[in-house]
Amino acid sequence: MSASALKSGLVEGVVIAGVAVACLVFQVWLPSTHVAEADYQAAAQVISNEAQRGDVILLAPWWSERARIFMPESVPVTGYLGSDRDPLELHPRIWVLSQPNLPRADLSGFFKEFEPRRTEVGAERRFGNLSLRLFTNGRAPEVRFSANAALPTAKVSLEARDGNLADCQWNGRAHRCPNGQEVLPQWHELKYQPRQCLRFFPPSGGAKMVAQFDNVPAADSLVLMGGYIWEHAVHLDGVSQTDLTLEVNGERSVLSLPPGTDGLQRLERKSTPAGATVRVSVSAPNPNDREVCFELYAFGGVR
Amino acid sequence: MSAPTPTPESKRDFTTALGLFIGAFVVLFATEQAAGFVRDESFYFYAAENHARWFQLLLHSPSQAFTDAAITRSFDYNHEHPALMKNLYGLSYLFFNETLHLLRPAAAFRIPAFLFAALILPLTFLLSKPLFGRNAAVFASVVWLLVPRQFFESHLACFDVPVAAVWLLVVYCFWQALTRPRWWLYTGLAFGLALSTKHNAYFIPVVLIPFSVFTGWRSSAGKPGARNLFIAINAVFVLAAVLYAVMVLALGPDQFLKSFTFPSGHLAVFVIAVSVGSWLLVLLRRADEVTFRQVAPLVAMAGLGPVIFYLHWPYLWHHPVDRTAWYIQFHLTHNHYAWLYLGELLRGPPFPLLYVWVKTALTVPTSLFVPMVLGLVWVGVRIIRRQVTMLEVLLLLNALTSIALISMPNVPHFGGVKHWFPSMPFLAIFAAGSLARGAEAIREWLASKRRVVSETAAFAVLAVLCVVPAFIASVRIYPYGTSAYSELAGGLPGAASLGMQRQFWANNVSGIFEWLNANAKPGERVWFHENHNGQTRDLQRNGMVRNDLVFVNGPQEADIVAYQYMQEFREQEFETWQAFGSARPVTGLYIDETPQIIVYRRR
Repeated sequence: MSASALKSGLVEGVVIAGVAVACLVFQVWLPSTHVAEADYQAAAQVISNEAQRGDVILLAPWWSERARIFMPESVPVTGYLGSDRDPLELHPRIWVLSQPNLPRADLSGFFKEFEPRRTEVGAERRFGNLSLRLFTNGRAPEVRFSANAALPTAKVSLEARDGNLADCQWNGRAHRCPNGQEVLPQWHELKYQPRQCLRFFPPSGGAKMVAQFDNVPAADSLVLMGGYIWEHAVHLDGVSQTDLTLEVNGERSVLSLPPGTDGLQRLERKSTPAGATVRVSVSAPNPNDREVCFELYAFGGVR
Repeated sequence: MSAPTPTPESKRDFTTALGLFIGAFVVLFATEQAAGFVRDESFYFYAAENHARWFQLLLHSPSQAFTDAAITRSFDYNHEHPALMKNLYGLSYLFFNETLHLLRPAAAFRIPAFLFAALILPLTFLLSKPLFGRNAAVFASVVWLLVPRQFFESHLACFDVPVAAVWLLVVYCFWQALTRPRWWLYTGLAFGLALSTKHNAYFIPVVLIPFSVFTGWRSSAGKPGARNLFIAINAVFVLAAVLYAVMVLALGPDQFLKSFTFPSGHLAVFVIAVSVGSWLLVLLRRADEVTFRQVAPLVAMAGLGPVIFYLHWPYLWHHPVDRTAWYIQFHLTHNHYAWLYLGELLRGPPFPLLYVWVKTALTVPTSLFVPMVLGLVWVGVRIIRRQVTMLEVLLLLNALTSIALISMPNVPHFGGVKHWFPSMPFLAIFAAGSLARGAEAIREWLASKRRVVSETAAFAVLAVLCVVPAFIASVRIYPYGTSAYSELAGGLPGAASLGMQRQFWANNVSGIFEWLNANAKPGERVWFHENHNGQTRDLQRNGMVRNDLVFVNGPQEADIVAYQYMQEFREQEFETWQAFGSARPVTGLYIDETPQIIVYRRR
């Protein structure tokens, strides 16, 4: 073997041996990152004892959903592709349940997204490979009104192109409309994110679906959030734009959803007077495949 | 480039190859039971059973069996793939299950799949031994089973592993044919089998034609008679291809297909080209045996390939052209499935150019992947230095062809890594070469320090170091092979954080069978998300899931939902929350903490 062949061969051999040893160490180490059931249960017990109304559990990494099995049902658990950046504005306190020892857990990256306007309460608690930290959520304003909660008292109707209204009937669960559609809160996916939003599909024939909420309290901001459900968001062929319209005492703003608009979209109006009549409507030139849902909140100042 | 010099196998080579084949078969057979049924496999089980019924009809009522109606009845289902493997799966089922009652239906169907997968080992051994020696050749061959995704898919009655095996077989026969008599014929037969296995085989000539033209041109140098015949043979097939192209352009694709009947001018072009090509080949053999051997395998492939393809598939017998055209068209216009890649859900082209390389790096155990890369670099250096041999070039082209094809941005990118399986044995050969060079250098270096280590011992230490982590990874992930990720990815948790597809094909649901069979109430309604009725039928038929359970098609009808966690299906999990009034699972399959199957139960 020539000197150069020996040298390159040695490099090859050492690289291979080094990588192989590292792989071996990784394979032996990986099971030690698992979380014992008892650790999940211990963390769940703490949350159960200390949780307040409106708390949420945020998972890090976002996919570490095994925790759902063990956490108390009274506290929602969230974790989805993109949840690191979720303002979680309906939740004044956030329990961050993380697994810092997992490969590529990148908790520093997570906290870089998460921490602005959040303040840690107390110290981190460890349960084996689980870490539990509590934060107050500076991105969560006071919720003064929620369309989901107010739905039973809302007036829902179909508005024809000529302005005629056909009322939808509240049956204790949903508003059932003459065209067979229902308006009710449902879990839906908007770009991986689970949202409990009001199902609100545009009717055919150029008509609108309208939900009217009376006596909406004064708010610093009125926020309409909505979007296409699931894969309807990514369909591009043979589909039209959908318009979600927000009317406050007759003053209109439109949240347009062109084909291909993926994820939760947001329309915000500053300062709404007390006792306002708020109407949300949806329409699409071609309602086929335009499955939309929305949420509407009146927010006060940041707590 | 040095001349091709395949060496005939010694008795010891043959014994080693046979040992590898038997060993692989035994390993696959012994671990079969744990492998759940992927979506496609249940389609193929059903198709194979239909084919088996036709073979029974052929035995009892041949005249009826040859009618188009009987053929269509048995072969119309799943005619998007050729029949060879399904014929074998079906016959194996008839023999081992229905006749001998030796095996459960799934195991009986899968026996031919094990045989084809096991064939990869001896073929890899025989191709790599002339380059890197016996130790490295054994290592190269077992690498196939040490890549977790390959190990898992070697159990399945599907086509991706069989086509990798027959691709390798064609290349092996081709290589032998360059210097040995009769192997040109075997090459043609092997190519016929390849065409009859899966459409990947259409790309084998893409590799072999340039290679053969180059070696034929070189070997006919200074032999005017042989050179003229060599050119004439090539001209015949080029002319035939041009004629077909002109026909398609002149008639239009539809009219071309409609008029491609038996007999027709279209068919005559094929018959004349093969006949004239064969006649010229006979003349070439008389003129120069060496040049003959460079060309004969391709002529045999051109002649025998289509004939075997036609004969093996009864579905083509009465409608050869339109049904072949449909088959090709199906794959040319294959739909795209959503696929998560580095945090982005890919739904259609153009796909990222580096997808195949990244996916390979993140799924092949790193202790095997790094030697593969080093091996490719080594052969690249040898090309630059003009030291490369013909066999190295042949193996390199085959290592890169499938990868290059799937890397094209418009080619569908679903299915994990299975679509470039035919590249993997060739990459394993280069990995083995890298180990051999490393081991030899370490041995020499130690010798210079007056520490004597045998070549075999040095290689064994390095090989064991590489094999053990891959073996641990395979054992830990099996039978959830579509979820396997390498150390470079950070394992499955690292891949999840990188935003990679964590599973596909809906077989991981087998991870909750133990819980389901123990905890479901009699007659409960169960929804296995993403499993079709064929899968649930097969699961019950093979005793994997209780027979009293009723399978339904959505959460609204279900008492128990087993949701398969995939980004594109999250809405269906949330539908379950809606239907059950709860977002809290009762159990699930979590591999290294990553959710795979999430089980919800109605309260």
